[in-house]
Amino acid sequence: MNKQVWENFKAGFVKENPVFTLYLGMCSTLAISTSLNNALGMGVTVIIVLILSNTIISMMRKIIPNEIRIPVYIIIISTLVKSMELFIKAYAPTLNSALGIFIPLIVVNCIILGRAEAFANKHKVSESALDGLGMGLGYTFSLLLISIFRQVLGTGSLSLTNPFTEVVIFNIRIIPSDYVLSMFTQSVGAFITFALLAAGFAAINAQKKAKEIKNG
Amino acid sequence: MGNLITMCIAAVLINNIVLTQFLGICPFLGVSRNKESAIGMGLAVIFVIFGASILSYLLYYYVLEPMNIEYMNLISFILVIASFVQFTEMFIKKYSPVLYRSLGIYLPLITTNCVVLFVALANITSGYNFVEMMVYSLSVPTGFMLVLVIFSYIRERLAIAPVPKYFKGNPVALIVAALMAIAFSGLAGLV
Amino acid sequence: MKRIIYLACFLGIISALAGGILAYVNDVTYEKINEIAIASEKANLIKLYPNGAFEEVTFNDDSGLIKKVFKVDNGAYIYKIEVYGYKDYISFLVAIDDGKIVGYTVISVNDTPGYGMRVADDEYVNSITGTSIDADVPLLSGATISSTSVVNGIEAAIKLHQSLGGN
Repeated sequence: MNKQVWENFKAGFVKENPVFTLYLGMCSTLAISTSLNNALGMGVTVIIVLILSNTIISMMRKIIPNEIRIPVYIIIISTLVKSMELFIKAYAPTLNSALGIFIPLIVVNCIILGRAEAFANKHKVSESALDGLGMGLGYTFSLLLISIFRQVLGTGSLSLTNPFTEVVIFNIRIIPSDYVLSMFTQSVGAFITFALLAAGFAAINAQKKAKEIKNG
Repeated sequence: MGNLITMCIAAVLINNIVLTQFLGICPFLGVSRNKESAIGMGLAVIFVIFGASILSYLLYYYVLEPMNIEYMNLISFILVIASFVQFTEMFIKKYSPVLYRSLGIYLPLITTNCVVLFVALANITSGYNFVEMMVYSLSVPTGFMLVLVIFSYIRERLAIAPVPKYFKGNPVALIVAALMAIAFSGLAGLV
Repeated sequence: MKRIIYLACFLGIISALAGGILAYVNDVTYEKINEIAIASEKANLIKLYPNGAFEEVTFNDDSGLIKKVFKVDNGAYIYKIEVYGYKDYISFLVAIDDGKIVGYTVISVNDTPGYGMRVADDEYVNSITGTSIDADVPLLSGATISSTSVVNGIEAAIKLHQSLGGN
């Protein structure tokens, strides 16, 4: 894989992290990141939609007329999201009740439309698909960070259940239940967690930039 | 009638869409840097949500349901919203070029504002009748505008305050949002 | 002009394709989704009568709050009620037999934690279970609106119970 493509892929994690650096797709992030299960469920759904939408839009980029490109992207993305919603309702109902109305709200997740507009309509299919994977993984990574933080501090334990079969994969108690800070499972904790992590990412990015300037 | 007033207070204050339900954060952080654009954005959002919700509601109950194609709700709602925002954009451009310039790119971005799609979908899943739907569709964006305007006042002060280096900009704004969330959560149990 | 027609046609074709794909996915998943809804309904009925056999009966309800009525093999009736609480719908089951409310369980509630959500708490469940149908069903202070709606629903069920010939 050539360097440019790999750099682009890596960017989705820290340098251009969609949630903490670009501040896209925040709505669903804060609302559902209360547990590992939710984060993984939402993350995987977004990855699938991102890869498929980037691929399809890239395949069609030469035939979509420029004036109506946004409505066309919207139609493609909504079809993908609605199909995912129906599949989740049928095959992973607990995930459906946990994520609820945030599954259809993936349609307006700025990340997907943003990547379609900024990347997929200008690059080849393989590059676009990879970009979708990179951004999706970056997004999932952010969701996992927030959820682990909130679940451990807010409920004291970390647990994972298979949404298709309801089998509990693990459930570890890290902090005794008397010492949990339940505010982290509610809105206050979500904002604070986000703020701290965003500041953290800003710090890391600033350090990296300083190093680059020193070296380059 | 009492039911409607309760619904209104609940939507504006107690279940505030930004502070309790986390929707509309993108414009919340993006447009709240000064008072004028916050007020303008708030009014635009109220107009869009009210209009788009009524259209989506009618579309769902008079077209999608009778034809048994309820699964087309997502596509049709978002297309209704996109068209309505386009229409609002042209309207504002003609009657208030100043507002148009100050809102800039955030006006077409109302299309991807989670709040709009959320209200359109919630009207259906909560099974509201027409009057309840209208009250809800006016109350939720009013709550959004309320928080947006309060936040813009705070942010104007914050811009000249001594904030730690890496917290400047959005991170400190989020901490302020957390404090506002605590303040608003004190209203729970009001009604 | 030609351009606009071309654009409109393109949009139309894409929409038609999208609609077709969704119709297909809907067909594939429709049955499974229904199955899950029926299974979860049964699971709720079993919460009240773990070994019961249930049979759905038709009914005539003026209040509009009662969505389904089930007859249990031991003579009791279970009513599935949906009321509008403080900020969202509250869906619950109430079982009536022998002139008493013998069971109450909440299926779904989406209310303020610590306030409206208490209609699903064990404390409230225990205070309702066992009350005679002639006595007043207790309300919850701090959750006046939600519990009033719940009580209205239970009273509608009691009225229907008497008209259905239950005891």
